[in-house]
Amino acid sequence: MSIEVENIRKTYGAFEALKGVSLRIESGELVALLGPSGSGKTTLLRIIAGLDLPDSGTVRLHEEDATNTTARNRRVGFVFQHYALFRHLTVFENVAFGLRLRPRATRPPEREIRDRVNKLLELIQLAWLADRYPSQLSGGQRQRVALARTLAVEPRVLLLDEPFGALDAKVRKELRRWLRRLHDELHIASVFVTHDQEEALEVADRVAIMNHGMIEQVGTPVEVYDRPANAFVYGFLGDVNLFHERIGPSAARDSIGYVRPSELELSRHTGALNGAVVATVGHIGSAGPVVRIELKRDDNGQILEAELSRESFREMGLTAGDKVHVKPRNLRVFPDGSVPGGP
Amino acid sequence: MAGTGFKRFNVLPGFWPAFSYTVLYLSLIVLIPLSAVFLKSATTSWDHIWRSISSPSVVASYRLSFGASIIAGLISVAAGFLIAWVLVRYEFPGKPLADAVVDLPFALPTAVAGIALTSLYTENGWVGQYLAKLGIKVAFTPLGVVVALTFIGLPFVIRSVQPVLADSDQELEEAAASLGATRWQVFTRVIFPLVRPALLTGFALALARALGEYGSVIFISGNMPMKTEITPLLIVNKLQQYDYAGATAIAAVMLITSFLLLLTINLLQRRSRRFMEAR
Repeated sequence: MSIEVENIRKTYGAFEALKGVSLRIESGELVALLGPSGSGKTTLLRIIAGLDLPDSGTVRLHEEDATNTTARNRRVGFVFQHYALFRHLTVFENVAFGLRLRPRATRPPEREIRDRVNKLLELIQLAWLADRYPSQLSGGQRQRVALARTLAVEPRVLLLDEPFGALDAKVRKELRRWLRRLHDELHIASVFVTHDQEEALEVADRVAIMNHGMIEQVGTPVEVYDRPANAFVYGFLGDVNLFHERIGPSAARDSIGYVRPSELELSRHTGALNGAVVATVGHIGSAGPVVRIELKRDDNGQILEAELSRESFREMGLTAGDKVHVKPRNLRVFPDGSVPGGP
Repeated sequence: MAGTGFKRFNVLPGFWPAFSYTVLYLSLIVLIPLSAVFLKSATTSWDHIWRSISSPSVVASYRLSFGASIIAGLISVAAGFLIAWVLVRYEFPGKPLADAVVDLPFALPTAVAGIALTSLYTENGWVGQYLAKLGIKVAFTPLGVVVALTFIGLPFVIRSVQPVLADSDQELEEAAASLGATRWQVFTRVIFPLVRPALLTGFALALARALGEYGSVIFISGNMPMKTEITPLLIVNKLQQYDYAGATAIAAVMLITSFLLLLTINLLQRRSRRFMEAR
């Protein structure tokens, strides 16, 4: 079951939410739509689901034109950021909702509904909460119920709108791994929207990075991270330092060089680093596996951020106020002049 | 404070002053005056009480009062829900005005409402003349009583339903639709269950108000014995004949019946809002 959108446009008043977006998602693939808020990612997802209609363009589900099919008939599972559980129904009845709606001819018998719901509750490991109401559950539990409710009707594609956005960091991590495993079992096309680049890179088979109503780049996590198409993608996928001048032979005049904090080389002596700049060590964040060091360039006062492993940090023995020589190990230049994105 | 039994820890102080005040206030304003009704009717003989509350014209008035109030309450529920829906869901020019108009029946002296409705619905009134051609008589019939009670009961339903509808998330409807619900199913299975407690509250309030209504009804009903006399009118009649015990006896019957009705609605409402209390 594949999803294909072609040249989708959508405007809200004067605001262009989508400016001709095309994307194809194969069956069995998990794709992340990644972008800052207002980039159009949720609008695109809602258009795939049939909850919004595009001004122009086509949506094809399983190679069939579904642009004018209603949400009800698209057989698309949609999971909302804020769960959208029916608070007047128990967990069990929430999951059974989609099955009970069916006209008598296609509705499974009561016993089968019970079996199917119980099986799904086992799958989300919440069978013991079947008789509770949504208000009695935690955020992570609610989102799992919402997912089970969607899966109960056996959707042909699964769409998730910032599914973990309202959860705390730990539950988030747990749930996204769980989602990945679940997706692999189901073998359907899934799309999830997120503004968290770590989440997108970790979970998805492919990532589509969106900005201002357009897709900037689509590719596997490794592709987009290692070979970003432009400065926006580069900036959105991780922290960046900017170098406004020519450093090294490759940089063209007047272009801006970008470098990740982990790609800055630091040294106490100038000898090893040809063409380095001198900076003063500021705040040091030494908790965790990487040590984050704030540096202030002595020549123009610009703030740089560097990351060192614990070992090399210990070897250098840096403290605030020390002078160090800084040189980018891997400088990237994007000729198109786009601006690096930030989440 | 251990051992008091029903006080639980609360971050806000002042449980006892607040609770004592509640009991005192309810006693002074509600319970003592109401018990006077029973005390007063107890000053006469059982025979007199029984004759007062069971004479044919009084029994006919019970039927009209309770029947018309319940019908008016149900009409208010249907119409009120629709109006609340429009006021919450749609944007249209003059919406704040329409919203303010809803409260007018609250503010209007009921006699004014009665006179206005009567002149509209008599056989040569603005509306009445057309209805008369269809053979429908409103003024001076039980139907007129229902019209007046609907008028005064409407704001209760609208004002209880409005905040609940405004609060209900459109995502719920989208979720239901993506699970395969038709529009009708979205309404019956998602929206209606969520507003049902508020509808019941509105119904109870409108009913209570209708049962006690006097001013607007006596104008439009015409007060024909056995036909369009409401119970509050009969109580006033008895008072004018200095039959205080008889008047309070009828009042006691109304009071007990109203209380039982409202209690039933409250219990129903509790059931329908089980999901809200679950914590």
